[in-house]
Amino acid sequence: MAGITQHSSSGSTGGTFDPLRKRLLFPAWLMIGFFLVLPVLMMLVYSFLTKEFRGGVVWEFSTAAYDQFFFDRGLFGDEPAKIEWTYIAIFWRSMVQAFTATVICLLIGFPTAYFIATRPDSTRNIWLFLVTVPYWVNLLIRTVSMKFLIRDNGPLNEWLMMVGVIDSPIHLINTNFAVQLGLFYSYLPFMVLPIYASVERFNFSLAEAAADLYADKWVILRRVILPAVKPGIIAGCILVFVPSLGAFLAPDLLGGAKNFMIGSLIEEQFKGAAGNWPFGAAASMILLSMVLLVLMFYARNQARTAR
Amino acid sequence: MHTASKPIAIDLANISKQYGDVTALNDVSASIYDSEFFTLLGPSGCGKTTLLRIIAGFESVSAGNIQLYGQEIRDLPANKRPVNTVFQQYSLFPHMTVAENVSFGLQMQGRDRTFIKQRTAQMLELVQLDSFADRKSTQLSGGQQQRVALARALAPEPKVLLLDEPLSALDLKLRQSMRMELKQIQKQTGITFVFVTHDQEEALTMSDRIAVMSNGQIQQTGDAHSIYTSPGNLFVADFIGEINKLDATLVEDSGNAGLCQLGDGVTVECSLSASTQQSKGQLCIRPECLTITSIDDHQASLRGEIDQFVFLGTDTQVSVKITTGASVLVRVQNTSGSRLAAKAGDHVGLIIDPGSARFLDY
Amino acid sequence: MAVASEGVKRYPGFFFIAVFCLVVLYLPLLVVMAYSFNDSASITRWGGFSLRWYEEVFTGVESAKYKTAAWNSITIALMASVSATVIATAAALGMIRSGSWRGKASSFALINLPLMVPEIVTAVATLIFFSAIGFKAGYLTILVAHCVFCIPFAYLPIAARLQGVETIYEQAAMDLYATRSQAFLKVLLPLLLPGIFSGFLLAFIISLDDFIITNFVKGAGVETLPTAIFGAVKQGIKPNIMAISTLMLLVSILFVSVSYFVSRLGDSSEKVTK
Repeated sequence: MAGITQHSSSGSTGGTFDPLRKRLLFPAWLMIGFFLVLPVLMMLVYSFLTKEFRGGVVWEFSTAAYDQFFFDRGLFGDEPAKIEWTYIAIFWRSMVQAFTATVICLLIGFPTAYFIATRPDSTRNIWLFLVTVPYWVNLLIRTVSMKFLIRDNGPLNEWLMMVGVIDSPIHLINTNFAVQLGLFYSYLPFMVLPIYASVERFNFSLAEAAADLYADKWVILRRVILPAVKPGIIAGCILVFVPSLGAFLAPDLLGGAKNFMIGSLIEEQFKGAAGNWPFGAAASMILLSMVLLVLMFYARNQARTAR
Repeated sequence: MHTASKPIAIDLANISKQYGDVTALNDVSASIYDSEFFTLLGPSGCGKTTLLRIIAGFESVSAGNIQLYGQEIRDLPANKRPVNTVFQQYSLFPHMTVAENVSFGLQMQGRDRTFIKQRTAQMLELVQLDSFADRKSTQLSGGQQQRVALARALAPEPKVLLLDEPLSALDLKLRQSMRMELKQIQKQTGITFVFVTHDQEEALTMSDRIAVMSNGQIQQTGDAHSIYTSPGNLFVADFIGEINKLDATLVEDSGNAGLCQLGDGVTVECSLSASTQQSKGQLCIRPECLTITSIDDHQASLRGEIDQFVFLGTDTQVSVKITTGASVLVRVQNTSGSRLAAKAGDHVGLIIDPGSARFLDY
Repeated sequence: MAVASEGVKRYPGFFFIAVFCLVVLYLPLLVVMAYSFNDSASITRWGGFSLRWYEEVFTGVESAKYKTAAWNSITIALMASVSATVIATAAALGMIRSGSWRGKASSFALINLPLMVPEIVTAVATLIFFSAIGFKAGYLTILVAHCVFCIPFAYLPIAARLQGVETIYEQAAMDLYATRSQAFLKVLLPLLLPGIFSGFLLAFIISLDDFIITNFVKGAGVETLPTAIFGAVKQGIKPNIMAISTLMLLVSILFVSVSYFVSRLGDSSEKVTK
């Protein structure tokens, strides 16, 4: 028995493992290489070009986009360079918001995933189904629904006033809180599903063994269960943090003009009034580098736990 | 040997197989005769499965030749070799019915429809599953699945049938009855079977000939009796059955037989393997070839003190600490009414059955 | 023993958090669904049950716009997901049935790149690319962009399924005189089908869902449902938007149910292969 698995995994030339099958990868490589890798490189080039008004670029090397991002040289560009905080602040706020959304998703998502994974077979699938459905529902529609619900004169405020909890509507829409709520609501399923998968694989006789050795519930959770499901938790955090960082819909629809995040800043350079392509490309490059940094950290972490 | 007159089904000549730095097979040569039940026996990792997969065409060889009834098949892909395999994990196609599984090979061969139908029915009858033809293969028990796998592999009338530990996934009772059935089917069809197993009991009960493998090499080939009674080297002696091994020096060598000396100077008559080269080695005696007698019996070659008894049902295993300091196991059959008179601590002599002691060098 | 193990597993409050989780996820959707049947033109006052907004979606002044947008969405999703599924199936075979080779990890990373790059960055890069090579933004650019980022979504379930199908089945087929292509068509493909189907569904939904990339590469005049809805929402949430949302919601639920059902079928046939 050991013989078969050993040999097939060592990549024998006979039978089913054929190195020529690599050719089957060409279409995927070609599509992604040509329509994603190449465009990203092109974007890098564009971030070093000169902007043309009303969108587009002039093919002339310039670091103006990055300069504009980091430095303030006054209205006419002739003053000594000071650090420009506007965009750094937007990035910083986006990071804080994405981080907060991740933490909230984890705090709500972990107990939910754990609860579902420990249901008996009969009800577990129903719970899982209920959590999965929103994951498949159009994000735009979900965000619009949230906007509708929490508007000043929307159903939520109406009900709360009807019940008598509040006298006047709470102002939620176009606040930071609304963006936060929107991010949490958008990406919660991304947190629940990977954690669920790892809790479901957890061998609960380990928890029983710990209980047998006088550990109480919370000690078991902290010292036995959490370390075992850590890969799922990390995967969930990445899946929430990365899209939150570049989110566009939640800040745009729920945050309004004041609660700008990276996504809206970039969008404005291409679709909006700003029309500064090199600057948009530079901001995108910075966002991409941040995400790749997070992913590299994750990959290194993965490699370490795998060892 | 009577098989020697038969034509050779598979001729393996100097087969070697390397996986990177690992040598799985090292210069293996063997001839498998027509219509014989040939078993490759060895511990896991000895290369037996690799050899089988090379015959099937799932693995290429690093060096060597394979002939099937005189035709070189080394470079033929698996689907062009008239050889079929019964896999360890059944590997029935889960999306097909039993009949579809059995007829698959015939369809691939492009046989005509009436023949396929007839042959499939015939095969299912052979393995006693004719009433299961339209079941999904996944709805069968393990034993039934293995029977279908056998029928599927036999249907295209292969020249050689390869069986890769086909019984190891079954439970003990089923395994024992399947042994008989396999042997029966082999006799009935007259197809050459090459059977891979790590289970010596399986090998000894079913095979016409056995090749014992270890470390990517064939250690000894022969029928069950000769492998058990005349092991060719220490590995084979150790691997097959239980055996007592006592450090010994060969002091007299007269071809097939000789005289060897144990640690305390006692000399014992012994048979020799053809490959014996050194005088340092071990004297090997099967526990059932020893008889307990009184200490002053002059027929006794070994003497010692009884250590303990282990009751094993049909027989009792007695361990005796002999004068060299080594411990020797003796099997005493439990016949009705008789009880062993000796008890622990008794000083006894041990008689070795004539011709059963064998000296094997390191 | 069973009671004791239940005790070890259970944590107080987790049930309420799970329920809270569902409430948060569903409340906005249910509210929109309910108000889509509101007879009143005021979007907050309940004026009785009515289907008038659905009628308006299909026959009203804006119906032509939404019908075109829906048609674009569906045709793009269909073509993008079919091609992504074909490409992903080939890629899965190329990754999982090709032994080990140098650069395999990079190949895996490349296939999954569209998942790792933030959507807005993909959108920007694609827009810049098409404009740089002078390709006119429109239906075709949306289709190409969708196909590319659907590939990993189709790839993951197919690859997972392929990993579950042991190579022994193909070997058994070849042992029984099947050629390489016969072994693929008669044995591997049928076994792979549940994975291919869920990969296709996932890709389809992902394409249907996409707003950000579409918004960037669509150019003037071509709208998909999400971009049309987004444009309308900018003017305020009207009841007909809620009706459309409800319809799309039902489509999504239908898709999950189908894929759920298919994957369970797949599971039950897989269980016995082990």
